[in-house]
Amino acid sequence: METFPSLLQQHATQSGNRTALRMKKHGIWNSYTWSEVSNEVQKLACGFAATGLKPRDKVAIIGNNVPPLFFSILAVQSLGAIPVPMHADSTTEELKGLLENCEAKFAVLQDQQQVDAIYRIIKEVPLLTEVVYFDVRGMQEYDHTHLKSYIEFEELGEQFAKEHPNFINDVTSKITPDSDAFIVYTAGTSGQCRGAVLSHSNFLSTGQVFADQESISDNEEVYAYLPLSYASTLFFVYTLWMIRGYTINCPESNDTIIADMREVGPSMFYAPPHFYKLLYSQISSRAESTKSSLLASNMATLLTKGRSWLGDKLVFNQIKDLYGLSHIKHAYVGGDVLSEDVFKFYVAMGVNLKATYGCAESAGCISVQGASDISSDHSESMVGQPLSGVEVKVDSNNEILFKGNNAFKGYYRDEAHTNSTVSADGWIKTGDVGELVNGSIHVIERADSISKFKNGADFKPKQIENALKASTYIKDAVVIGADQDHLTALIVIDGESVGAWAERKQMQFTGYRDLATKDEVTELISSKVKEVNANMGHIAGKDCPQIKRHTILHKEFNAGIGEMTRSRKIRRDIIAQNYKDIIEALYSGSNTFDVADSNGETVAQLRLQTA
Amino acid sequence: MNTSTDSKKPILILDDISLSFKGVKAITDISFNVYEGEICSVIGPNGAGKSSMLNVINGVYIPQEGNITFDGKQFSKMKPSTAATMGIARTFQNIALFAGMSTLDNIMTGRNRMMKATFWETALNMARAKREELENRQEVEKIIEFLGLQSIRKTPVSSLPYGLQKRVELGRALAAEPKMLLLDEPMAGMTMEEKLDMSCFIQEINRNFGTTVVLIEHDMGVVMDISDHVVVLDYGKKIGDGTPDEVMNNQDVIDAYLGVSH
Repeated sequence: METFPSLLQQHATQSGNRTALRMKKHGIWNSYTWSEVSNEVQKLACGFAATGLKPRDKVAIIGNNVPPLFFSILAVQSLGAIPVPMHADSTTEELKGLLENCEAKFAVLQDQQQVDAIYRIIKEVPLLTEVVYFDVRGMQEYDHTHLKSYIEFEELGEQFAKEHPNFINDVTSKITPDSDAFIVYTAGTSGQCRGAVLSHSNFLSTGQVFADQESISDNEEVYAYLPLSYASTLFFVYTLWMIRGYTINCPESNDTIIADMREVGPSMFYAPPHFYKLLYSQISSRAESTKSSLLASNMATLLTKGRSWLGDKLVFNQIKDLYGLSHIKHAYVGGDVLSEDVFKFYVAMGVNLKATYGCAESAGCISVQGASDISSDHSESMVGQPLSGVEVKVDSNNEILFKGNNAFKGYYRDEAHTNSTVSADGWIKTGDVGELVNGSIHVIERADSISKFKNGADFKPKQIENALKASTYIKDAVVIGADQDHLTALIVIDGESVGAWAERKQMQFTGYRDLATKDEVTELISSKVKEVNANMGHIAGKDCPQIKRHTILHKEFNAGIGEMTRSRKIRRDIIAQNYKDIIEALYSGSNTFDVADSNGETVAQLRLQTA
Repeated sequence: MNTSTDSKKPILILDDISLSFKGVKAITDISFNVYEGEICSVIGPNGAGKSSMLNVINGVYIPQEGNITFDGKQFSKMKPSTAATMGIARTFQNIALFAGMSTLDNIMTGRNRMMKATFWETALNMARAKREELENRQEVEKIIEFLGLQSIRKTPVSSLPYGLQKRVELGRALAAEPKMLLLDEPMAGMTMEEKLDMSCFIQEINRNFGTTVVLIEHDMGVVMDISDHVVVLDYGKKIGDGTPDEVMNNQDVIDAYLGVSH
């Protein structure tokens, strides 16, 4: 049985000249071969060892996907220490919580911004002793006692390797498949982050099954734009990379993700629903604004009648090329449910899109859609049969449980929560409500989002929200109704596509807030809400009441203040708290609501609509 | 921050400069030094002669009296082309980019003085022209990274927001690898965030490349924060010259520019 470091050695010896990693820098794609990756990793690992990193120590890894970040993870694992990936845009408070919780001894950072964040709290996390950074820009004036650049670190490593020539081989050979490979912090829609401890075999056993089942080859070009702090990225990018030895491509910067994707033309791609929705919105916005109605009419026929040879040749091949989807053999969506219309659009356009299901506790993957799921009803939320080696069942509360090779070891330093999540016989709660249909998992709702009306009847807000979000004009929606007798909805419009729509109507507007309170936009969104209401029986069951009232919010939800998780899942309790007054106004029947800033001045007047 | 201006070597000496337009005096007997490696700000109310001063340094206006010494060479009149070849680059108060060209191409034009290939070599894409293009492109890419312009590399500048166009213009000036950078109101019309970004860039240019920066600015807050040396003009005359602290405590300056305090 393999470990991540042993797989790296295999690739370096068996296919040392193949490209392992590419990153665009200074406008040019630079490559690293497997033997170069292995060299970098060895130097770096020796650097860590020289500065005192011991097996089982924790190393916080914070940054965008750049080659040194991948090297660092591999180097830490080669020493038998444990990488703990964290979000590059975490707030100082979040970082402090995570660093304390995982007892990080080292931190590997991308640039000055993160060094600044860490320096603000370094006194409060005494266990953190060494900080390494990649990007030297702006770093000259810092106190370098416990701070080293990547280059300095490699130099230390080279020196150390000369003095201890067999060191790396000795440590690496002691790592077993059952050793801890990662601590991954869970997204946490319901509060505090928890660190799931996962072993090498947790990732590699299911990864191997997945790669075989899905015929992932060693020739895949994979586009790695999602942060490695998600278990799903660790699975779909990192684990499969180590298993198959394909090529990973990193974007030049966060601003160039879409443009670089076109240049890469990936053959395999994993993204959460909001990325697919973003591309879909851009394509439909293009379709609506184009002078020739070719694209628009083809998009309509595509959704109703399926693909046509002419439509492909004239329109969709170009669209796919424009967004870097031409070479896609495997596209996966996960983390949440992608709206049915958007899902069907990609499938109809010839993109082999499949929903996957997993969580941090399952090393990122439990199941993937099969052919029968895609042709079934609710194809977007039928997430397939469990991978071989994983078992799934549904308990009496309809919660989905799993166990198997990918089952995590527990939450780091949180036995109480581990015990409440994992039953004595090893079944792990996913927090999702669903059912098994002919062995396939059908995910219906997050368990904690199901609420009850005043009369005691259940309703499932997420399904309704997904139906609303199927509109290109609606970016986010929160459906409310707990302890009430009908539903209301808070809606965040998609600034870009509504903006493009408004421009076509030759409307004047200044920005999001202005758009959100325009009569025409209010009407546009109302019509979408009415459409959803008309389908409510189909979406949420025939007994579910309609969305009686709704409003467009004056701003987008903000992950920085906890309204969403970093993976853009809404946090209902915080939103209910932050928008309490607006929700009350919706239920009280008023027609407008004045939003005041901190000085008490009115900054926007929301329209509260009755559908 | 610069230590003391006395120990520093002047890179630019302006000696008794006077400039008038058909009898209207724009600048009267102004002398000051700009020292190597410093950030020097020229401030003053509207019509004080700030932009005229910059245009004199850069050779756009020819002063009736006085001498300019740049990098050890004395000129009674400077020409814009001489200024450019000697290593003076500038940006403009009203953006002066090639509107239809991309960010990348605009910045490439800043490399003009480093290009040696002839018209025919370039037109026929001969070896030297090709090599030059590649070498210069690499330098330009470093600037693109430095200023964070990767996502708009190929976007026509006319479609960019104002703040970004200003940044592209700064990039073009930097591409000439100047000894001295003249910035004419680099922060005018910017949002607070854009201003902060721009002042960081100016400081980084000064620190990392050792480029001397002369800037004209209205925004006093920004000027005082980033300058080593401030020159104050009023009605075409110099009324203050020193460190930000000295200037802020200078009674003439307080009266003329900052308003009389009570």
